[in-house]
Amino acid sequence: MNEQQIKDAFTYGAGEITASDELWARIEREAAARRPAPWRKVWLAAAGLVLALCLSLAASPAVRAAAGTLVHLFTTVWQGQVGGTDASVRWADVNQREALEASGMQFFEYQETLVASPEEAKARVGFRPVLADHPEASLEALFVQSIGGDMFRVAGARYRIGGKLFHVGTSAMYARLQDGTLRFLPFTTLETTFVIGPDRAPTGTRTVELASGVEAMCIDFKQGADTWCGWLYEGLQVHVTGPDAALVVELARSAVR
Amino acid sequence: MDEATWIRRAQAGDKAGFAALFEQHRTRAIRTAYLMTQDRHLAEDLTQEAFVRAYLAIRKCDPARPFAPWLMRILINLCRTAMQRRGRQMVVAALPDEGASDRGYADAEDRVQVWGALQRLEPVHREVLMLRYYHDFADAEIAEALDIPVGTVKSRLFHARRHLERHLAPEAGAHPLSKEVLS
Repeated sequence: MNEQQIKDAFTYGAGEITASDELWARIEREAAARRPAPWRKVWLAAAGLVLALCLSLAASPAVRAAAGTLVHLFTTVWQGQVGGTDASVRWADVNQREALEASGMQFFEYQETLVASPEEAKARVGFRPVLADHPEASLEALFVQSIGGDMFRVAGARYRIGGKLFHVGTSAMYARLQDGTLRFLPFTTLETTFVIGPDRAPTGTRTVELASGVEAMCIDFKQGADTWCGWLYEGLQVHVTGPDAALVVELARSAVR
Repeated sequence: MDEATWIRRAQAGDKAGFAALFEQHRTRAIRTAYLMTQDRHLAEDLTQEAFVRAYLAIRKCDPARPFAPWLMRILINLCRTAMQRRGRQMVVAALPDEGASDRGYADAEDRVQVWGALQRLEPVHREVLMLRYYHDFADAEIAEALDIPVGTVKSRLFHARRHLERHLAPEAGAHPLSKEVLS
């Protein structure tokens, strides 16, 4: 009479159901239907070449400055679109989470859908993150949270760079309108854990002024010789320095499309 | 042949390798989906989808690690999404037919009581208990299946047991779980 009781209860709850005999045949058919056709691989390779070219262009200081302007423009436009929101943000280091939970603080729980491929992610949320400073980075997974109806939340992306995995938190929400376009939505409340890789430790926070009267909280991360910076701005957690710069650009483009 | 070999064969494009993984995990997978959704047809659909996704992404599976937590991660996320779409966080289902699961338990009443209490738990707590006690996963495997840190697994297990204890308490003045197990 101990743990066995819980085991027995689950076994009882699961009942005696079994998968039907046709299940394997259905899986085979479905997998075959979804497997990319060879011509699609050619298209992807061509797109990869174009992307690599864009990334190399983006490495130039002039293009970077333009990207920074675009980000600022985006934040301004976004603020205009959603003006009047009272977004509030709370941030906590993952290492503080348990202690904060014990004190009664509630955390937003990531309930991500792990999409099988970047292509599927693109199809579902309409943007593709890239890492400008690391063209060798491969997008391992994109976490997309379905929040009901045709609304999705991009919860994070996982990249592999030089054998290491990086988990980048991206808080953005989209709604698919009736005309098929994506509308960028604000968070009215966001309680999120800033997800970081195992070898990225927050080194502090500071509030900075992006432009006249516009403030954002910057969370510095130290990784090797590089300092990364994650920004929390009006409920939108974005990354504007370090290897995530292009991600913000992509978010910005999605928002103004 | 061991599981790692099947995974490697599946990664090399050998359909029989994945078929072997499917055979080994199909029953546990559909029962997991059923535990989360309490809908037999939905459970089969979600199991199908989980295996399709696993099949297409098999190259990302590490053969050096057990297949079950990796598969469960896909399946659990699918179940969560399905339940969110249905607009309900928790299902209180009819109790299974006793006659259909006559496995000679000495105390069927306990089983029903504990199952009822488990159904009243928050989904995140029920999930972590399911992975520990139904799947016999270690902390690290639960962490992989739920994509959370091991520390969070321990914390959730602690809170889940405590909530389970609370749910059992009113009817368990003498319920052994509340005193002997859930500490």
